[in-house]
Amino acid sequence: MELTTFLLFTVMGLYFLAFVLFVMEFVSTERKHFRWANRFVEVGFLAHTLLIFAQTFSVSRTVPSTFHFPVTTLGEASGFFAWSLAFVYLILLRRRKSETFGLVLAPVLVLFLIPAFFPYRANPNLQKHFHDGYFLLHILSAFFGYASFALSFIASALYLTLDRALKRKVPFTSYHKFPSLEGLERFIFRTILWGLLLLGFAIVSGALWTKSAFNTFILREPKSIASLLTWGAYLVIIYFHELRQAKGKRIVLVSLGAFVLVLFTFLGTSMFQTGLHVGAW
Amino acid sequence: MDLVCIGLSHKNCPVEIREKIAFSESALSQALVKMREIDGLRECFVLSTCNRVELYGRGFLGIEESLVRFLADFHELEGCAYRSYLYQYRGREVAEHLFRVASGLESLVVGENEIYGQIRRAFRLANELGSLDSILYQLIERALRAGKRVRSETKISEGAVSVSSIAVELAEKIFGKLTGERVLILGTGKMSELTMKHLVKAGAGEITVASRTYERALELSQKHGAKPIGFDGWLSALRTSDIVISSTSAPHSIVKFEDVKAMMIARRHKPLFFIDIAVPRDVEPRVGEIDDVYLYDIDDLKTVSEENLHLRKKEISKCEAIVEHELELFDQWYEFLEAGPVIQKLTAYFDDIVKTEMTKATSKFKGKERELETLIQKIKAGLLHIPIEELKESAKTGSIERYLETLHSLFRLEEHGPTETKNEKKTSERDDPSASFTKAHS
Repeated sequence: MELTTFLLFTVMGLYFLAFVLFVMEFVSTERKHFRWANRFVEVGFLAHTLLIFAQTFSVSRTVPSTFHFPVTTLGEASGFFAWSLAFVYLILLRRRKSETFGLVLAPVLVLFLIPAFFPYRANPNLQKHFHDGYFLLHILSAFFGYASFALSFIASALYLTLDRALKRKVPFTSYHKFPSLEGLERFIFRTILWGLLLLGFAIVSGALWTKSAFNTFILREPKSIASLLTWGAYLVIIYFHELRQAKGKRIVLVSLGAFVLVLFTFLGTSMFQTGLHVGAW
Repeated sequence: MDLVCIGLSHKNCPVEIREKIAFSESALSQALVKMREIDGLRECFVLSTCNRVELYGRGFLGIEESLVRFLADFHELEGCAYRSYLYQYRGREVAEHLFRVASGLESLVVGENEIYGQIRRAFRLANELGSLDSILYQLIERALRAGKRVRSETKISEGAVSVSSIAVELAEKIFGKLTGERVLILGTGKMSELTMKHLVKAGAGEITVASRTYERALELSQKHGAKPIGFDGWLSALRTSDIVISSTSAPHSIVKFEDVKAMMIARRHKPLFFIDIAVPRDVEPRVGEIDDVYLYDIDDLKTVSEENLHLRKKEISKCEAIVEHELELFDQWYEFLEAGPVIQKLTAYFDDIVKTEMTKATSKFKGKERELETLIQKIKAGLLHIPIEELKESAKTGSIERYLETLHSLFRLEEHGPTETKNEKKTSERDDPSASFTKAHS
């Protein structure tokens, strides 16, 4: 078995175990599995980091003098996205962990790892740009930005579930492990803010890279335009929440809707099959 | 066991009788002091809450009557029909009852936590006044342990059951840990006052009280450091409030859908939590349909309470298993008490032999008396270790009597050591009957 395959199974196993523990924690009255569940996500994240290194260096070794970054196929990009999600959850939002959140996040991590088991066609255009620092920064910040938006989406879904439970007066025990509405709202807009910063950084670094590579600040491609639209939409949301004090379910619903733009930017634009971003998920 | 308990509780005794028999905090110390004067009563403990009054003690058969008389004399209950409500427990029943009480299994609201604190306070007081010695001390301590285990190992205390604590729980689900949320009180009913107190204790901030009678709003505000307003000002106060507790006696709803809808736009949909405990309801039910408004009326709160109570009741069998286990441990401890005098006599038996032999050999060990003494004590401890462990084991299986008889006849223990009675022994050794042995050998 190859090292990368072994690591892939390990990472998936660890995230899956974390998911099982989060489920046990959610149904139990005491907080006895939460710590261990988070540990499994943490160890899974470390193994995942090793996997990314292994993927990077295994290709770089087979084709000397090339640097490979594991985002050239759908499988790699999907796995890298899962890693970014875990990174944002564990590092940037470390103080805001909760059992309900882990319960939703852990299976998402597992799901995003599944495509990594299948072979996909790589985009040959990308390989030659991996030596460009701006290009790498662009990719990294874009992935982290998308991960932040994905986390805000999960929190929004939890918010709406809890809101519905409170409105319908369902038994308290079915949602007693949920964070409060206010806590979830804080989480949603904190992750959106991070997402805005990171996606903004991705747009700027992308512009600098295209300037150096193609002598233009913007590629007229669906992905570039969609990214700007996404960034603008989230900026409007943040403006209304932070400066106009818009609170509650409606603004959360809007943020949930904005995630459709993220999905379109991340996955949908690749379907147009034009430009450099083809296959760059 | 010579344990005894008499008392009455919410289960069969009406509150009119309970309030006559209850001991106020200041009277409790006095009662304990007087109780100790009862002839034949060794150790005493009083548990007095709004739902039960119980006197615990140790004494021979018939002491129950003295306790009943004490109760009547202390409260001057001549002519009061309290006797028919009294229950009595003796021996192991007392332990079982107290363990169940401490676990909240006998409470009006099953699994409530207050009783645990009440027993602990009563225990501390009785101990400070010297009313407790070996058996009752152990009994209460173990009852508290059972209560603690029941609450930490089962879900018996989970989910709020009182209207006010449910309100706090729900408020925390909406606003998170309460940190200065503004509360508006409409009407000055007892229930809204209680709910407000709970919210403030949980961390709610500024309180505004609106009442049709301004004097009542003022009175309640002065009591709780709130801000009184006239009733016509409640709608503008609503704009800045997060939690509204409503309990007016208005015959129709006063909080209208249109008003709140408009208000929510002005509030930019900042969540608003209504607790409507008035009958008839103060808040139009449609108000609950507005986004970010959470409306709970008295029936909703009662439903939550019933659901939680139902869940608690499902835990009772688990709690009873814990109580039974703790009772078994108490039984074992109690059984082992019987071994106390025998162990003391056995130690005395060995001491006699050692003393005789030491006197004979003093000249041979001149200058090394201390080393010799240490050596002898070590040998003695080694010899007694296994018999004592065996006695402890036999206490668990209930076969200790047979062992004690054997020891008596093997070593003719009647001829050795002090001839304390079992009861005297019990009062002198609080925790462990082998303590005297351990002390002698430490």
